[in-house]
Order: sequence, then C-alpha cells, then structure tokens
Amino acid sequence: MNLEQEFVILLEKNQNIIHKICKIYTDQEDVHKDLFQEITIQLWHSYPKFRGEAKFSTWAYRIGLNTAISLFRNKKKAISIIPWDQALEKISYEEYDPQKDDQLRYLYEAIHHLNDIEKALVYLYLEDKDYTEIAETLGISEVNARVKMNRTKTKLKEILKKKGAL
Amino acid sequence: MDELDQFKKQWQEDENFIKVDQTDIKTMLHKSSTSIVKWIFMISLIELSLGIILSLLLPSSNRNELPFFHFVDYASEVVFYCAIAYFIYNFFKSYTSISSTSSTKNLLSRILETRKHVENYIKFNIYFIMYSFFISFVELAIRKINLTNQWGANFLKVIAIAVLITLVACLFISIFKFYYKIVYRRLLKKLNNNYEELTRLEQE
Repeated sequence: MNLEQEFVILLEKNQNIIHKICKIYTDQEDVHKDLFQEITIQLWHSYPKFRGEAKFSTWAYRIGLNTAISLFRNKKKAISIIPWDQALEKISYEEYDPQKDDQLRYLYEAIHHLNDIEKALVYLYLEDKDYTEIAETLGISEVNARVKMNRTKTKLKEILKKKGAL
Repeated sequence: MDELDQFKKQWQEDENFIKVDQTDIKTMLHKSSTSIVKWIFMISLIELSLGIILSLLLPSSNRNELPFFHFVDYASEVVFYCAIAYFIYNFFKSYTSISSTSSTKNLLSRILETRKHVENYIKFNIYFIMYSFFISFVELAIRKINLTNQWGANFLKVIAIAVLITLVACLFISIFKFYYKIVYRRLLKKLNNNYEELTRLEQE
C-alpha cells in the first residue's frame, strides 16, 4: 500500500476528529468544508514525518486545532479562492434530529460564543485529554492550562444556563 | 461531577457529520493550501524582490568628480547588500521552522516572527532610500553652491532642495504605512489576537 492510500484510509476512519474541530470553529457549511480541506492538506504535508510516531488521532487534532486557529478568513466569507470541487458538492449536512441532538446543538451554539483559544480548550476537554497534553498542545504551562480551563468552563456553563440547557 | 460532563458522552458519540469518502480525500490532497503561512510567504517573496528592484532605482549620479562621495557610495552599497542578505537569511530560517505539529503558541510566534523579518527588511529599505536621498541632497547642495553667488541665493537653493527631499521622503513613508495598514492589519489581526491571548495567560 502506498503512502497516499495509507493516509486516505486513516483519515477516512478518523474524520470525525476533524469534523468536530470544523464544527466548533464555524457554523457555516462552506467554511466547514474549506477548513476540512485545509486541515486535510496540512495533515498530508506532515504525514511522512508523523508516521508511526504517535496515534493518528493525537497528531490529527493538534494539526487540526493549529490550522483552525491560524487560518485567515473574512468575517462572513470563506477565504478559499479555490472553488470547492464539483465532486464534493454532493456532500451535504444530514438532517438534524432535534429530539436526539438538542443538548449537543445547545453545546455547539454555546461554544460558538467563545474565542479561538477557548474553543480549543473546550475541544480538548470534551475529548478527555489530560492537562499535560492540553498544555503541550497549546504551548502553555500546565498550571495556566488549568486556570484557563476553569475560566472557560465557567464561561461556557453561564452561556448554557442562559440558553436553558443547564 | 462537573455539570459539563453530561455533554461529554454525547459529544464523543456524535456521528452526525457529513461523510467524506476516500475519493473526496484524494481530491483534497491535490488542492493548494490556503493557509496564512502560504499567503505570508508569497507576499513576502514579492516584497523581498521589490526591495531589490527599488535598490536599482536609487538615485545615483556621476560622482567621480568628488572622491569622497565615490567612497560613500561604495560603502553604502556593501552595507546594503549585506543587510539584504541578512534579512533574507533570517526570513527563510524562520519560515522553514514553521511547523503545524508544534504547539499553538510556538506556531503563532513563528509565523509572526517570519513576518517581522520581512517588515524589518521593508523598514530598512525605506530608511536606506531616505539616506540615499539625503546623500544626494548633500552632494547636490555642494555642487550647486556657487561661492561667487550671494549668500542669500545659496541659502534659498539649499532650502528648496531640502523641502523637495523631505516631501519625497514623507511620501514614501505614507505609502509604506498605508500599505501595511491595508495588507497586514487585517491578515494578521486574528493571529495576533490569538497569540496575545496565549501570552497574556502566561503573564498573569
């Protein structure tokens, strides 16, 4: 199996990691797709270096978050100057089931009120990462990661309470 | 238990996303990146070459008759090219150290640092242009001053040239500032904000 095929299979299997990042950083479908594509390209570029070093997921969320945090985009418009490929147009959001996903919808809505760094923290918390890993991912000390995490969680809870989800 | 923990399980089990299949991923792999690093790299390359083009347009006149200026010209040229080499080396060095696998703070600081090298390079160019104009001014002034003329006429000439040089210098600086306002404030605003947020955290 060649490198590309190996990568494609791994990414297809682990794509939800990336989708979750896209979903917390944008609520627009076209930006979601652009971000997914950009993260895929970034992952692919560093794939030869990564191979076998860490778990695919561990490595993927780090690059995913870094890409989302550093990507330039216009306020309401996606930055991509490359038209989304025709072949990918068939992709569309599945119909939402409000009964089933009410709580999750509130959660995503609340997360959208946070800034980029806070979003990354919430993501890492929800993915159950420990503070050593969180601190390392963001490049801050563990103590500061804890402090910032507590503040962010409090902020998130307040927003959720306002929305009546807590 | 944290109140937020009730969301964790649902979050982790959430599968309600668009599905990207292997063909889609393969198509994506062959697209160009739209990352800020790429944008900055391309803009920087244009700016670096612009500096070199500008250097060819610097005022140079026949200064053979004044050996002192001949020397000044030569020394300036050496300094100029050494400085350019130094900036370009720094730019490439920090550009190649940008890695999306490093920590967020490190990544942001590397991107901003790469940008800073190009900014310093442009600043250096502007200062060098101003310096060249100044040298030309001094030289011109020395040549135009006719010692047989009256003191007043000489003074007027010097003033006129000085005003002209100042105007040109001001024009260059305003173009530079305007350009940076348009291109970079917007491009780097988000990056700067996120970097500051992480730095602030460490300072508290």
